Amino acid sequence: MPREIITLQIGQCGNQIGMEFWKQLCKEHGISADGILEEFATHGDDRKDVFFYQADDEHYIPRAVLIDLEPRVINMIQNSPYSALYNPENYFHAKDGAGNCWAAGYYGGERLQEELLEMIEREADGSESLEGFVMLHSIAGGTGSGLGSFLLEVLNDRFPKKLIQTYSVFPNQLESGASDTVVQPYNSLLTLKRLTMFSDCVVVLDNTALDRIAVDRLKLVNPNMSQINTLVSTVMSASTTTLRYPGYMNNDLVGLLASLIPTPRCHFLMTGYTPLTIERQVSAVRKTTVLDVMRRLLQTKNIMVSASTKKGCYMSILNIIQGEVDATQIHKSLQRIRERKLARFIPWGPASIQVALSKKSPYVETAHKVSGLMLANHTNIYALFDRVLKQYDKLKKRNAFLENYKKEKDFEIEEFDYSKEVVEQLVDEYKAAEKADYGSWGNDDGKDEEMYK
Amino acid sequence: MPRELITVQVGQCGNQIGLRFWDLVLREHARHNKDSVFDESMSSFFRNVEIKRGNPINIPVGDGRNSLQNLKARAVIVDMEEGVINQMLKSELGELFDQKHFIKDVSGAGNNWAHGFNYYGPKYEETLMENFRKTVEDCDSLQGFFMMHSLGGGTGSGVGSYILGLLKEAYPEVYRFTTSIFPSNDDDVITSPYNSILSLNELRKQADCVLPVDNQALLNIIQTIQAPLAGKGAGITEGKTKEEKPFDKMNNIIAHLLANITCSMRFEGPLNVDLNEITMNLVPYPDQHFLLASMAPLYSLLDLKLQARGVDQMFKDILTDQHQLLCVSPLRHRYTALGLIIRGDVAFTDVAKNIKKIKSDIDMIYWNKEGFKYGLCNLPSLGQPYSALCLSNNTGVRSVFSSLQGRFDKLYRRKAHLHHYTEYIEVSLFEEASTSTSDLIAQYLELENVKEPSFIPRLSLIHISEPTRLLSISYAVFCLKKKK
Repeated sequence: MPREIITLQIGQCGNQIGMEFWKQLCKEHGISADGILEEFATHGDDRKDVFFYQADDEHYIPRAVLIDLEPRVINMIQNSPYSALYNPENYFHAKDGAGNCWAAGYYGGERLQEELLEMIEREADGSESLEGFVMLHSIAGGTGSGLGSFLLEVLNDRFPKKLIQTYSVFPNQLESGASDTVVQPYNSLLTLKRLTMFSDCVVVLDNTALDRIAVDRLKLVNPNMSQINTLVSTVMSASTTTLRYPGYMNNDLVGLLASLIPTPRCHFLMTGYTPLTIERQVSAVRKTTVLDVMRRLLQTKNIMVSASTKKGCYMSILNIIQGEVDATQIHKSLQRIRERKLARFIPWGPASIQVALSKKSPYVETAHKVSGLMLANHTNIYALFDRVLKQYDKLKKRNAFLENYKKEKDFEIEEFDYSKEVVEQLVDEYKAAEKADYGSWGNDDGKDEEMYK
Repeated sequence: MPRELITVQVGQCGNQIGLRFWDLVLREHARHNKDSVFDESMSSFFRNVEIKRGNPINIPVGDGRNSLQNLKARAVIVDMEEGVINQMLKSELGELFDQKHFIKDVSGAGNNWAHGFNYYGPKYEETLMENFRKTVEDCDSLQGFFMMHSLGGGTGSGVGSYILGLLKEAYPEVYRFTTSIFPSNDDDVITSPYNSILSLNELRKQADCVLPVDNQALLNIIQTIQAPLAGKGAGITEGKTKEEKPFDKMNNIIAHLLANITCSMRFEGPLNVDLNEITMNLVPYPDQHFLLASMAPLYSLLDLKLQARGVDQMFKDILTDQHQLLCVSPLRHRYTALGLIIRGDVAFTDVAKNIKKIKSDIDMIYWNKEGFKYGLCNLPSLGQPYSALCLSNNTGVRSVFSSLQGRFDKLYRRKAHLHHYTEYIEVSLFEEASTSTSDLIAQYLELENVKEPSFIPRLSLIHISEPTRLLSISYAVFCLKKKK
């Protein structure tokens, strides 16, 4: 029963990550850069049709729609070796760009919605049983955040039963990090509201953490953007392995997410991956048993978000382990983790670490026997949102940089206030989730329920 | 789909800068564009024209593979006297310019802002608008107008200001960037303070973003470079022509500035920065759109041993006084926002690390501590493996405005030279311009002095002691507790 997934890549960041993601998938399934199956790719028991479909001439074409409001990145993709891979009808770019302004991205999207929806619906019609959408974007810029928000709202409307998962790149948060956009608090806040209300699951990626991992763990002296995006693509492809190499359980996205997301609003996930290598470099990790992998995944330094996991508690964890694994070892590892209390769980629910075993691609050699991905729902993610709120407050109090937002005539300044309310409530909810009485939180004021209808 | 920029060169200074700018851009594209096809990056500044029997036809970019026929610059050239324009046409770059886009007169504006603004401006309004209309039509997706002019003279300042007003009215959504040369303290024109303050008023109202440049600062930069260099290697100031005229070195620096700002639009990179992003991120309040520019390194790094240290050194240099294009000490004033455009092979971890360092070194306004914007472009500029351009919104620009206003006041109090101006404009315009400048200075000063409101804890009263007397005063002790 194929459950297809359509990928939407939005903005510069989204498209750059997307490019690496499709490269990785092609390698894993033995598809060449122009979409033809390689001769050695004869295994045949992997499900390519989740992410690809076959054209009349045996080409494998990704189910991807590439959107941007300015031409540069898409032109770069069209001039890269993988240009023949994508469906040429699925590129969309406008001319002017959003200029780092959420309002320009959002209302730009609104003006272009006919064409965008036509592309998406064509892809949707081409699937037998569409499961959902995966959106790749950043939240600090203009197109990824603004147009992304608009699409989230529209997709929710047109395809109410379909899942929407996003991989959202959050801007550098820590004091010690370098922000790359001055107005990122405004853009992030406005997008967070839509991510909270209209998306089913958000995988949070953070440039500070990715950078730290690239330098510390991979020992790359000067990682460039492409290598960092490869980290992201590793995570994305690992999280979809159970969909593409079917096994006993977790063969569709909704199953994966069901156990991770206890309450609808708390759907922001952290990821961790180990062992990390780029292009078969020998990394520092030697021993890879299941226990080792699972233990490493719980360490803060492997997590791709710069919120500390030492404070707060885990709501749920999903580990996807690939490689030669002895099933009995898993049980032992879980016991060890429980004994040593390596992870602190919420008091009001079961302390669940779900482990999914999946096969690896037969065409990609790795230096390690076992590798693992962790998707975790941790309450301390609110630290990221808190930071955004604080930075936003500082700027908004001085009414700085608001001219460009006001230039969009449909944009109301109150939009900032609505978004702030939503994000504050989200932070409160995560904080409440750490306490034992979370079950009865929010029952007294039914106002909450109204808002998220 | 290319994003075009139209340059508007006004006055002697503007046109001389323009000449050096086009020279640089041609060399940059020549180096990048080995197969001599008219690709999209060239389309930002040039048109490809086929000259058939005297009737030039525009060749569109198409798929970016058409061969170069005749390049024409997307430029509108304005000058009220013929000397400089004729020189341009006779030079090697003469073919680049389209005669139809020249607006010229014979006698000049005589260093009189009013003559430029209120006489030549309206006189040529129709021709100007017609010219702009044609150049804009030739563009697929116009991003902005770039004006190059000086503020001390007559045409550049007067006609330039008038043109800005026209553009704002006719094309309000297109960005108007200007590179305005401010007169230095010992300027060759006596009435330059009048011209500058009057233009400043217009710049404040009509331009979207102004990059002020000071002749004195440019001279300092040249001295800084020439001292150790002494004939070694190609630096940022050298042009192609062997016979260099005196201002050529200085104009080359400005040409580099303009090329670097637009490099992200023309060439690819991992983190692109557009012109609209620059205004979005660096201009917090609409009036304060005067950005301080600085560049590093100023000479090419021939000594490869220095490579590793080079990048960090570049980021340190960009904050020092010697690298600024305006005579301002940015570190002694406050930053409201800082943008960096980095060209060449620089890893973004290096950038992140250096931005962190910069953050701790500078005084950034408390409500925008994270106010950094950076962009990365893969193609390095000519002669240098990597370079950085820093555009910052710094309150230090007020010192330039203040000194200008001082000189203005000295002359105005005596009503010296005023009669030349009152032939064309009212005296009230002087008052208005002066108040406008004071206002602008006050705004910057306020930003410089604002302090973070300290957290005042809310206190509650626990206890008041019995009042007691000591000699002739009586006192009581109040005990306060911080409210939870």
